[in-house]
Amino acid sequence: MNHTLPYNPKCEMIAREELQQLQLERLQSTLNRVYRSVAFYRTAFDAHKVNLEKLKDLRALRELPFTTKEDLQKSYPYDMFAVPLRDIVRIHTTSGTTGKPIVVGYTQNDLRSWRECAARLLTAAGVTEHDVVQIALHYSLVADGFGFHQGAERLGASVIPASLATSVAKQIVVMRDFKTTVLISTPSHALTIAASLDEVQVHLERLHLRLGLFGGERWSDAVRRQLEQQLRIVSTDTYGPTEVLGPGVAGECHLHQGLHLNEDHFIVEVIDPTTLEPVGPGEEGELVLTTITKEGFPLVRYRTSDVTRLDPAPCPCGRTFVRMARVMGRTDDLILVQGVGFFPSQIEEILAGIDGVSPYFQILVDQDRGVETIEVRVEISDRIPFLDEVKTIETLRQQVAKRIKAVLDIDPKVTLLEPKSLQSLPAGTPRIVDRRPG
Amino acid sequence: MLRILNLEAGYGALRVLKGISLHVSPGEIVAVIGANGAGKTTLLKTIAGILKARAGEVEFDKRRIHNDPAERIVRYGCGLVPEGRHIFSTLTVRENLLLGAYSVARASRPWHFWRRRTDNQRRPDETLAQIYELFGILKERSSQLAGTLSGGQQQMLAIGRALMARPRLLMMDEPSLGVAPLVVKDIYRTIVNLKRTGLTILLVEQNARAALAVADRGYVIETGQIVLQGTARQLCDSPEVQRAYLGKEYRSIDEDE
Repeated sequence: MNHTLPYNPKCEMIAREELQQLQLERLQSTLNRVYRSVAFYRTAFDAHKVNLEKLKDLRALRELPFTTKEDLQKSYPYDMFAVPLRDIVRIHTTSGTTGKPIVVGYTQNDLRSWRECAARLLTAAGVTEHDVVQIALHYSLVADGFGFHQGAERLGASVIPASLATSVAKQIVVMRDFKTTVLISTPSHALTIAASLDEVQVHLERLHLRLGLFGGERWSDAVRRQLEQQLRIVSTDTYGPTEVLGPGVAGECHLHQGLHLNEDHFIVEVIDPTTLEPVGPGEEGELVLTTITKEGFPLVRYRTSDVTRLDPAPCPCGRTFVRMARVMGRTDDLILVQGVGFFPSQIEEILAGIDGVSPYFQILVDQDRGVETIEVRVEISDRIPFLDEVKTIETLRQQVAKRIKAVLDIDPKVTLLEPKSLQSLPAGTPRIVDRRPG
Repeated sequence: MLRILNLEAGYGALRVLKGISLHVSPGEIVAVIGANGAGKTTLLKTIAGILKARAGEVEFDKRRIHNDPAERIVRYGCGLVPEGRHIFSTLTVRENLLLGAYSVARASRPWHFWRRRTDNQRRPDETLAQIYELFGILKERSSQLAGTLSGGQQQMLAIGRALMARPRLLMMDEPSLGVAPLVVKDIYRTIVNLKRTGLTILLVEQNARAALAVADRGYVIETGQIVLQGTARQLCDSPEVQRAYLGKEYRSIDEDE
């Protein structure tokens, strides 16, 4: 396998000192620009009495205010864009269609940087122009599929936009017939594929898979080993929230010792989510990112809610960018299942819109042979007539499941419970139960 | 090669540069574009030591130069072609050129022991021959009075004069100012040729299209601050730059007028 050079050695192997100069230049121009063109930042900087002319080194970034997910949601749809809409050539949103998704705009140059970042990540994983890359991710409002797609095309690989719209069986047939060498998906979808091989009677020997790139959900070492064994692949972890860019923010190299973060495009900090102060070197905390090349949707000190830690030591692969550990958790209650992120409040909102169920519910997330499962337990409202009719209950159950599927794009198992069965649970019983290992 | 950090400068109460950071790597052409009064000329003057920096750092070849006098900065190998050319119109072309080697000729005297021995110490005549080779027109007109040259030829002379000090970094202030469009093309062709000889160039221009056509990277300066930076291609593709500096009606320098 060819692990010789990064996609862009000049950038990815840049000397620290040079990188710092570049980061400062890009940070200053980004800040000058957002102050002029984004009302939110102008107000926030003024409120914090920030004098951009006094920002003379990268450490001074700490004096700027944070940007939170709520800030971005409040800007719905276009208030955080730093350029007029006519300069935007692509629009994506974060997942979830209730509540307010975050709308992200990309200019022509943003798409170019994104392609470059994704191409770096793919190259680091070992993908080359000789590969056939099958992308089994959402190709919709969310950015995931598109990011990998553009990056892989940039490398000259043969890209199959399989998406998640096809059945698993079809996915496997395509994988076999098209001689797919690289699978890009969520870990849980890959496990579903692995588990379904027998069912569709495709033997592993008939597949040409050698690499798997995964992202979009939390996964453990156990799942990783399981995937590598079951599909006989080398797996690579990737990171890239849509609001920051999409896939391409960070990715592992072939040494699998942390994800190289593209520091020429992002400035990274790790903070203690309670005190909001920077954590010590190598300590765990919330990842905070500042974009320094984005034109359409720049972010200053954006709190990602992802928990990780940084390793600034140079990597033996030669890349000089800092490495972040695989995301270890969230600081908010976002639940990531099957590559889709949603908040319990979204379930609550859906249930409120359905007659016949009470607003009391419980979410159980588990893993069945590596595949992530989600169960939503809902109390039936005590005002519903004909409770004993099996048909009524089954219809109601399907209605809830359908509605969740339509809104959140996940397939939950829905269990209806007796009225008052959840209400009567002792206070403090968790509404979300996550039984996934890792 | 050149590294500028949070540079501030101005005239009297007027603050022109409000914290500029930029860098130029060896062998690059870097363009700084911006409107009139944005601070482009002030930037070059401050780097060249003509104007004193009020804050910030200028580092040339790892040496801090922001407190050094202009003539020493020239000797370090950092030359400036000023805006409006400033040639001596009552001297001949040859005399103008030789004046450009003044600082170098002085520096090669033995008591300047601190100076590194570089090829700057070559004799001015040799350099002159090279300049003549590069600009045939200057050789032809070598004994003509500089004031009788056309605008474009004067610009060539100003570039040639700066080259006489054998700089490694050449800074040019609005080389296309006040010359005919066709001549702009000539001047820019010269700039590309200079890059091929290994010269590093920092270019300041209002004529964004011409500058970005030859530059590797660029910075956009507005009211003394950098607001955009990137590769020349990125800047050309940026709608903001297109609207503000390229202008739809502007024709490219390759088109004949």
